[in-house]
Amino acid sequence: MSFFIRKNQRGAKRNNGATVTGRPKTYKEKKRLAHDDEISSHSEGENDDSRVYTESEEDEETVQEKRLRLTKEYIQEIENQERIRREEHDIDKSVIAHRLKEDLLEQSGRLRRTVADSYEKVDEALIRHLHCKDHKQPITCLTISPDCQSLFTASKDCTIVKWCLVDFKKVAAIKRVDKKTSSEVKGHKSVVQSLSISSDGKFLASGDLDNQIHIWDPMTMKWMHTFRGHRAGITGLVFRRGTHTLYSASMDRTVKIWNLDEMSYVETLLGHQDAITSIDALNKERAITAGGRDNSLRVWKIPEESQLIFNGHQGSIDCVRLINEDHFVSCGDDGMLSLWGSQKKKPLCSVSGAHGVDASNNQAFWISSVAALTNTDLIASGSQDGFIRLWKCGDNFRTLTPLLSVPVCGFVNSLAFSSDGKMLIAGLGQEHRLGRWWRNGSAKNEIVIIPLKQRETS
Amino acid sequence: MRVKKKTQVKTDFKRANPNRPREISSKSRRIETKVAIQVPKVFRSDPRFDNLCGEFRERSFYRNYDFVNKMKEDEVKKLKEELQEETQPRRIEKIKYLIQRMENQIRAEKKRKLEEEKQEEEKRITIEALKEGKSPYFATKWARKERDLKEKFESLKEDGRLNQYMAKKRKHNAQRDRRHMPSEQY
Repeated sequence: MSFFIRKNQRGAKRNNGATVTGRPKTYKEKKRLAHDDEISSHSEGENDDSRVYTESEEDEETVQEKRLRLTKEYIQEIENQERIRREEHDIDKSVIAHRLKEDLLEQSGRLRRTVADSYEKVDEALIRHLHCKDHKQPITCLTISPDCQSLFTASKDCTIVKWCLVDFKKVAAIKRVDKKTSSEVKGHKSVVQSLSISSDGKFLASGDLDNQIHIWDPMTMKWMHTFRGHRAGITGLVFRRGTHTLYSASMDRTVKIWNLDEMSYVETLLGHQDAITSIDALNKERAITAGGRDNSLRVWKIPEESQLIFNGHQGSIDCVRLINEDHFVSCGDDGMLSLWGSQKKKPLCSVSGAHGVDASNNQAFWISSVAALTNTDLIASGSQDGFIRLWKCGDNFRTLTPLLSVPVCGFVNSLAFSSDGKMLIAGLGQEHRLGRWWRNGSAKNEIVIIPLKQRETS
Repeated sequence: MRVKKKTQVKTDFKRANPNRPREISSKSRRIETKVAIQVPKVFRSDPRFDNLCGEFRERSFYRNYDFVNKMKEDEVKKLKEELQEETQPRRIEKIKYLIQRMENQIRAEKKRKLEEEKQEEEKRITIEALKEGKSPYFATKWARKERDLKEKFESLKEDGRLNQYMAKKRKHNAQRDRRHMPSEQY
């Protein structure tokens, strides 16, 4: 909560000579007080300096008292939470301070937690496999709901399935639709390549290769809206966290921004020279896209209407994920896994042949998917070599060291960490999600849920 | 008069240092000329007009490529052998044509070499004369022709083809003279 954070009001006149509190008399006073009364739980913009409000002026005493009361309540809330967590009666003050600091860092996008080292070897007996009739073809993409209660997956047979992550059962499915089905029944006509859920769990977006984006209600799995605007298949969808803004990336080389509060199109971002393969976004009004064979990753600064171009990789860049607001990881069909920082146009660290070399054609295995646990240093990458590899980003994101590897069978088409870092979910298939260059007959088209356990630190 | 509204596109993105990512506008529809798969463009140059190749020097050219003539002579021998073994009429024709051609080329090359030798001989004489201090002797065109005729006469006489050659020459000259005579039609 940003009770301590106050926007720098330039040009706001302060009534230094004004007398005491009571009722605000002038229009300006009323307006200022109204603004101060608003307790914004969301601080936006990049010029946000967090300042502790220590000034105490006579005319704003009531406001200060209110803030004090509210902060006391908030601290009380945190104390209760910590008490429940630790089951202790004595609360350590430093823990609350640490928690407050973490919240602040998270909001401003500067949180970094080093948790990778604390992860233990995965117990293979605890890995769950999910199958269903609706996913007879390889899984292409998946997304986890923000409360980690449900999982949404899509496959090459144009279906979307909702699973419950508590009892690991299928809850609902959106079946494939073709010319014969009536127009009232909504669904996808072609392969669904991208899925995304908003951070408050109110909208689920799915995009297919038929240029359509369908919006569903994740609770009831009912159709809400369709966005038609793209001129080629949609390869990536992502919601900006904390908002209802949807960014969609397509094979027509554009990124389109949609507003789901009004169910309308906002704008188009141009610049890529090849079909966009992947898109990701966090809390800021920025999106990052991977441009396939034009070997560029572009960070789109939407309010400034500009793009930053990062160059790297030799083959097609297939997937990009943001680790935190300043660092991101990308993978490609040259077998390279690259770590990037927003200040450098070339990757900070690159691992070539990250998943080994294919013995049949002496080329590095294509890395088809990558996932990052937000604001930490843990990364997972998946390919067709039979392992999901977990990596640790060390030394200020300048090194990548292999951490663990989980054996799986098939093409790892999609990876996602749950937000609490307790699960890694992989969508597997007999084929690559983009085509049928190979077919692994011994693999199954399934979803694999890998429980991640952290070592208890003393 | 309608005034067109120009939309201001921000193009003055400057980065702090060249290691930073490049920044451009996200709104322009300009297609950059960079293509995904780049094929190297082949630049061909004509050595006749290319300054880098320098000026053509006949003597150096013939000296450098003299080895080709040796190859030709060897190849003519091989072709003659092939001709003896060849049965297909078309192929025989081709080989005959080739042999003829190559022999002509060899003959022409020999002739050219002789000419070159003669010129070098003349130069040598003038240089020697200059060295010794005498005034140099430069041959005129007619002197050269006379000398050539003499040499030819000598060689023909040796071979025994002189009479044949003289008969042909007489015929040829007679025909030429006849052209200048008035015709009988009028």
